[in-house]
Amino acid sequence: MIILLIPLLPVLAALLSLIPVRPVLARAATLASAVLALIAAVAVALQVARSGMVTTVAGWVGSDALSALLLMLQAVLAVTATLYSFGYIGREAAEDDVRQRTYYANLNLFIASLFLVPILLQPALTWVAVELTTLLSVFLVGFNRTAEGLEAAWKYAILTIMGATVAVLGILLLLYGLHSVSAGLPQTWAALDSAAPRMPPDVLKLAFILVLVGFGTKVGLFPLHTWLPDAHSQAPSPVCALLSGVEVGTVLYVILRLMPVFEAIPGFPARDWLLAFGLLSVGAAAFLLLQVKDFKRMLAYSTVEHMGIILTAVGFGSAGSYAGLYQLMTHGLAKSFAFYAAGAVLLLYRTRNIAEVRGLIRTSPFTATMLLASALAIAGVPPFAVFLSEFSVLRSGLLAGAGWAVGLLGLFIAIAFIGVMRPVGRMVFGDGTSVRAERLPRSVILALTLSVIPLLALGLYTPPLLHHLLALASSAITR
Amino acid sequence: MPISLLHGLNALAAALFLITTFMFLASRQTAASLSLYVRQGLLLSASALVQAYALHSLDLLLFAVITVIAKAVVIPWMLRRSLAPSFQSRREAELAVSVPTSLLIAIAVSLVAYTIAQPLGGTMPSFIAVNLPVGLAGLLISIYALSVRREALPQFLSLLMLDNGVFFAGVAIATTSPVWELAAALEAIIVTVIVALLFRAISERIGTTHVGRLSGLREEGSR
Repeated sequence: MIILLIPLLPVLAALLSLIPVRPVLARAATLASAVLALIAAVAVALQVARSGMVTTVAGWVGSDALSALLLMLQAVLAVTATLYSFGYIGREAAEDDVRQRTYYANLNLFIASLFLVPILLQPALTWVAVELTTLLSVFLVGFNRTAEGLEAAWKYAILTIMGATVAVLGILLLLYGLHSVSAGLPQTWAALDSAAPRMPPDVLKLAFILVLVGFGTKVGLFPLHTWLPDAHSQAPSPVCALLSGVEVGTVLYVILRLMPVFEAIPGFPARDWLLAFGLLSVGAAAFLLLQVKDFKRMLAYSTVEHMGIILTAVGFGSAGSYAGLYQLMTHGLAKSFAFYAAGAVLLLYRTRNIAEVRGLIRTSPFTATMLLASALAIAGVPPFAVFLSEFSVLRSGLLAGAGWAVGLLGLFIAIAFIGVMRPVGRMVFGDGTSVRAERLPRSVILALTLSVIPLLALGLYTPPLLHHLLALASSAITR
Repeated sequence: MPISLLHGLNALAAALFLITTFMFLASRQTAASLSLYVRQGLLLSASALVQAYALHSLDLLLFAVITVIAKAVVIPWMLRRSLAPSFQSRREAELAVSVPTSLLIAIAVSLVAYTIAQPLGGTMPSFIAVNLPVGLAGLLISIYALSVRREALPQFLSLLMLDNGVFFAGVAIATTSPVWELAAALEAIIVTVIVALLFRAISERIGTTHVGRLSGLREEGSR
């Protein structure tokens, strides 16, 4: 029953947020729901680690290790994004209680839709949940109501809804394949997995293309990534953290979940397709990173890069699946941290232009340290967790005998490293006039501090629970 | 009714469906595009109705009814009500590619759709052999239409046409639960509500919905 609580808590918090009193109630409700959801997610993870699968409503709601990992990541980010919002939105929409309450209500509904994706056991319903994540985040992207923000929201809505509509035909084809095996089968992920070898291969191939292109658009895979830098840079920073840190990963989850089904197609190299798409995205993002002028867009391109790394890793095979899922977790933690740091810079300087931020280390040593740490973290430098996951991705590629792909991936990661570290180095250490140092809101400082802890801890030590869940989950996405 | 007649009726609906898609690609006035969308929704519903009768499927009957309500009544009403000025204007929308070129591309795209769907048709009952290629052609042509339209509302109408294409293929292959069909129809309505709200916010804030001319989001354009 505890799984059902996870999406219900934020819905309740959304309702409470709408009560027309001071926004402090909305804040308290949002934080309480996020913390309780995190506790529930950990409880589900522990249960899954023991029994492998938790089913709450048979054929409808449940969680395996893959779902549990995603739930924990979502819940952690929900907590930090909520904390961060207190100060950030408090300053952005000060004096406007209605706007603040609307923000929290919308944020909670968005979080609830994210929670729904991994716990639904039927692909058709999962698709509905993915579509809800778009619909419920459109107004968060356009929250600032600037021309650029609304333009970004428009591109985001049109392109990702287009992607989801293409993907739905893929899902329908899969259900048709299932029906053609036996009319009485339940329409669940598990039934799809077991019936896949008996489905017509042509149906599965067409479904694969539609699902990869459709959901790939929402994951931000090259060349369908064009909306992502806009949306992920224009949204308020806590929303950016959720979009880049966990929303794209949540959609990627659906593609990964279907991998065993597509691997069942005789003579069809489904994993090689992932490898090719992944490398293309990493490469394109690495070169795009070299020419960015806006530091939030820089982080958005880095998201495209990391999604590419995860796809490449899964393309490497079973060892790569473990590494890819690990990367999904560490990227979520690192990227949200980076957007919190970038948001702090934005609060201090009121600009996203890299060239206008110089000498941050003198203006605000705390923000500078956090920005530098987050850049190092997303660039994959030890002792941060992304280093370990990227290292295991490269190692799994070598083990799989894909030396050339590992070489290319390593090269692209190195280019992306330069693309991130060079501008951040200038922002932090560059010569320039320091601005009047405004104090950061306390909740922003707290969210930044809380975000860096798991990133460092996982860089030094992998808890047995995490390792166990990753191993279980990687076998769930391998045939 | 003999089954061959039902197949014939379905093929007629499919042919008209494909023609409406081509007409949509060629139409430049918003009001005309919307009425083509309504007609297409009716044809989608007709195809579902024929198949519901042929297969004695209550789910498909329900789907046909929901489709008529959502796509021929609710969505056009909402769009006309909330975005009235855009529909009254007889101005022709700006396209990135000329109409004759677009139509040639659409023919090529339809051939691609038939080629892709061919191997699937052989092993399947013939409703699928008709609906899948036509639906796929609708999907691909709508994506093309979306990419050459430079204004917000025509882009959104292309998105709705894309939805029709998907479900035209979908009715023949989906033998799913009514829950899912209801969710799909509701989803189209929710999408319309959200996009209409966003559209109004954009026109209030910026004064234009010519998204091709909105160019704040460029690498050099950041402030």
